[in-house]
Amino acid sequence: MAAQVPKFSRYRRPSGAPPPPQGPLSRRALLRAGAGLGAAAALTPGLAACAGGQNADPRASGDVELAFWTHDEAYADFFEVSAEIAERASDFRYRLRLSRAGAEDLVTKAIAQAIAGRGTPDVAGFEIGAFPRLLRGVLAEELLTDLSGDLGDAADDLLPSRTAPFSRDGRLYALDSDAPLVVYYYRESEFERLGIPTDLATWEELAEAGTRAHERHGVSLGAVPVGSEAGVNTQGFEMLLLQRGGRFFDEDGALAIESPEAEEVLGFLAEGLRTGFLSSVAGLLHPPMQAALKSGAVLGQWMATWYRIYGLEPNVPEQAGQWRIRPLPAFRSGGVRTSFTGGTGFGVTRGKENTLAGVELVKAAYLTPSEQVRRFRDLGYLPTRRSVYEDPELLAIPDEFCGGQPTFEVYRDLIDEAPSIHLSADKSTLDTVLSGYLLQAYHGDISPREALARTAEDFRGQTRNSRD
Amino acid sequence: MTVPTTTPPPRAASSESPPPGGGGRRRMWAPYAFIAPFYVLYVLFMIVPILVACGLSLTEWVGLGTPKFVGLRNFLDLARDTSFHTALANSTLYVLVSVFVVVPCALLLAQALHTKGLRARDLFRVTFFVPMVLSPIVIALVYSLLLDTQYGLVNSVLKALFGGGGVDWIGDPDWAKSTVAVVVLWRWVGYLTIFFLAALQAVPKDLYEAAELDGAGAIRSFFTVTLPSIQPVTAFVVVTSFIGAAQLFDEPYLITNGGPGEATLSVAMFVYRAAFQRQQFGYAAAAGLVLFVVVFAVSQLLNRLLAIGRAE
Amino acid sequence: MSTRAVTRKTREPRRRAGRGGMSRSGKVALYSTLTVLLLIFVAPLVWAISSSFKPRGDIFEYPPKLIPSPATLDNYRTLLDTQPFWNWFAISVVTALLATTVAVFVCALAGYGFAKFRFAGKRVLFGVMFSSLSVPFAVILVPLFILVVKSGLSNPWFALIVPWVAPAFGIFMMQQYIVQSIPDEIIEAARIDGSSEFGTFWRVVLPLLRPSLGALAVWQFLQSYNAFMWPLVLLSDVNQYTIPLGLNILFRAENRSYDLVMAGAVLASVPTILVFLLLRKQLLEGLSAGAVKG
Repeated sequence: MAAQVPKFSRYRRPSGAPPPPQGPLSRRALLRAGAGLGAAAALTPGLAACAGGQNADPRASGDVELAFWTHDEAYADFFEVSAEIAERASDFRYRLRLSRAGAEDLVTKAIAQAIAGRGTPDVAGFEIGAFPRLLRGVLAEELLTDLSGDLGDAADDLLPSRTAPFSRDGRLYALDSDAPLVVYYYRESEFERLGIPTDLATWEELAEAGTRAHERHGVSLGAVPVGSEAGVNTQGFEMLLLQRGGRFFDEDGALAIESPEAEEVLGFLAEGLRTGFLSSVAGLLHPPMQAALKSGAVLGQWMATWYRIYGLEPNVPEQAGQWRIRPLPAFRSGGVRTSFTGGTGFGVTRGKENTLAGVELVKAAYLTPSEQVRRFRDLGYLPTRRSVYEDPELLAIPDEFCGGQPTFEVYRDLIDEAPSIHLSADKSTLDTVLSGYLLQAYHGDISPREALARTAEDFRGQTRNSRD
Repeated sequence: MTVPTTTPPPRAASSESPPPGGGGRRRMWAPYAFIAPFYVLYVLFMIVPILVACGLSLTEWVGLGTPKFVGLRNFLDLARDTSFHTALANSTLYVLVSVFVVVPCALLLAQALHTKGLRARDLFRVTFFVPMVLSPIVIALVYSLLLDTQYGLVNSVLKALFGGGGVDWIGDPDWAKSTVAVVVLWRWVGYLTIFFLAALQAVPKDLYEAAELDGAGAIRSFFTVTLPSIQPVTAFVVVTSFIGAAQLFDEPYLITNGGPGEATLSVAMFVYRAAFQRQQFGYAAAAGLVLFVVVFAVSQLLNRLLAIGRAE
Repeated sequence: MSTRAVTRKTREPRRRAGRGGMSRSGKVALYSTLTVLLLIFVAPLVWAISSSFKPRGDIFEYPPKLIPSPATLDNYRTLLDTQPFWNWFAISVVTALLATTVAVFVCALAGYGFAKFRFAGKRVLFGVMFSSLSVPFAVILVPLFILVVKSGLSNPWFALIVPWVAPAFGIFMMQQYIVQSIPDEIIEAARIDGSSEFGTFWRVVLPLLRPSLGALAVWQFLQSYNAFMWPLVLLSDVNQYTIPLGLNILFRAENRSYDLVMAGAVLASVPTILVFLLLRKQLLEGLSAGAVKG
């Protein structure tokens, strides 16, 4: 671990992050804690002394070794090439030092290192489910560089739906590496064999066909995650909720789950599970799902772009060529034909020696159109610049796993329908609470309305102490 | 972490020799030198953290920036936090299961293993202890696969035997609690058994013979001879189980992740979650202190209560 | 209470289960119950070992095959090729050994101090030590983490052993053992021979403690090697994970690499099971001795 010597300097991001709070103040705050406890506080010398005190002169050129953290190793190779592009555009020469951790762990570790005042990453990819934790208090502000001033010509081209989740108070803390549109995957050969139409326009029609298929052949046309991971469970629900026009949090981060849309979607899933049109699994990427796909018990699934690469291809390689994608069937009562789930925002730690180098790297990787093209080609992640969706090369790529289907066409047709997502620092609280009531609603133990009402009630009870 | 504890009251039961003459001055500091390393570590890694926890519990802090002094607000919030109530209730349940299910099971098992002339006693004893030797992560992994609702082996067997859809071991709130309890039972019972077994082997035979002469049956001699004789060990095992269960973390974290919802959330998980998943360090410290006060008070009480019986 | 029983029943000497000979059916019931229990304890482990040799897709096959066919070493190979498993292994074993060494030494010293000396404040000090047994680790988790990280000691080789170096349980165990099995005369004799206090401890007492030290060492090793919560909050670099943490990241990875984790779980359990089987007698007896005789 390269020790980062904290140095105070004049350096500020152009957008002007507020001056970092200083140590002595916190000491005083702690010392006020009363006589006996004051002694305790004194035992914690500099509890916050170096908090936010990471201020080193950033290098503007030369050899840099970046601590690069990701939960997904696929990014390692990708960024090696991005570094070459960044080298051409700047005076840096890059070496990347890769650290890998689970998506949740990565955020935990980044914060822990920030507390320690050293060993923080220079560039890190924050998975969208874990990122909201940085929205609490001053964390993001203390830890990450505001990239909003670095966008250049991309500023108006970036999809607002992919910058909004990583923005707060006008600052942009990370650039999303994906626009993970949700589509419906289906095994065409099996649909055909069982006589299930593949072009049904609405969920309601598909549910009807699916129910019949289940009665006759015991198959399901989708799976709903009901495992032990709260975030995975809520994800299954959120995809369709967003599609229907609902959401978890509104623009201000306030809970918005008690809506007719949420009730409808939850009711739809519960009914689907009851009739067998849908089946329940521990998680859409987990071995039980693999077993379901392998055995042909599940023949379709609504999921993000990356599901082919991370879900289908590794789990059922023998079904290559049998799968297709299509826009989601719409809900009869409204909404759009797609949704979002997932995404990973790459951010740069502020106030470090390598901050500028990190910014250049992330810009090269995520703002250069050619890199956006390459990312879809190599990793299957969709562009975040709207203009790249018209790229003829991408539109022409046949997807062999999907029987040669030019899948990018489907995405191009859907991208303008994509809903916006708003995050809240209390997302993990919601996941925990909602996940429990979702399962009860799926079981039919409580009505969708009741599940949502109880979720809201518990959520409010638990976030009373949330002050961000 | 499972720190076995033991019940004799906090006093040094010892056979210390009367200070033999000679050595004089040297002997004065010697005992302090011997116990010093422990107390240095103890102060550094136990007392200081507890004091820091006290200080921290009065602040609001996300880990970066300045901790803000908030007085007792964290404790007031805890008192109203439904999630904390759930965690307390769940931990209480784990404690009750440990003390009233796991401990009796261990005693039964020990009694069985104590049967005169039992062959392969060592094989049984060692095998039952094995779960204690394994990593909780290994146990969690194996159980979450075995108990998968759709494809797990346990449900496959149940479906084959009884039909139906199997049991939702992890997704149903009540079953999830039972799952955690069963894994705790599986992991702990063999460990506790060895204490009971050693105690049973130490009960003087003539006590049983006397009881038999009295015409006491197996059941009665169990209650009139066995239980009173092994009381100190029972006390030890009860307190060990209590403390272990009160701070249960690994099983609910790894197997059910505290879920569904918060159906299996324990207090230790609550502390971890507040600090390391929600960045509420002050709040986490406050919750930890509440746990500390409760566990400390109850275990001191148990020590007194159970040890009194022993002294007589 | 029992006296009343005596006066009323003074006949037939009865043969009771649990004591004397047991009826044949009783024996059958006992052995079959114990054997069923044995299977319940062993089955998950056998299943895990067997699954670790199965290709990923076969883990959920039903009915399960005890002997995997096709059997494959791919899980092990992939695990060792793609994950820094040996790093995890090294960290786990070395830190556990370090923690064990320190703990055993500290406990033996303090146990001896408490067992063989009379000194001012002993009662209180012993009580303080003893009461630390009832401090749940979750209480000091957050402050300890902050202290370790803030003081720049978060190097895993050091920080991982911190919670395990001063176990009050070990002191109690040592103290009990020394009181029971080391006569004062031996110590006195050494003193008369002019041995220093530490010399007496080192040359005379410590060798006599060997069985009990063995038990404590095995126990501490298991505790530290299997620890989960502390490494979970402490470690950040996947190359410096302990085995439980490494398995956890595989277990929680998006695609849930159960196949690799199964192989890892089996490998991870080898050292502890070996240590346990080799030293089982010492451990089981040593653990229970303090509590029973105390």
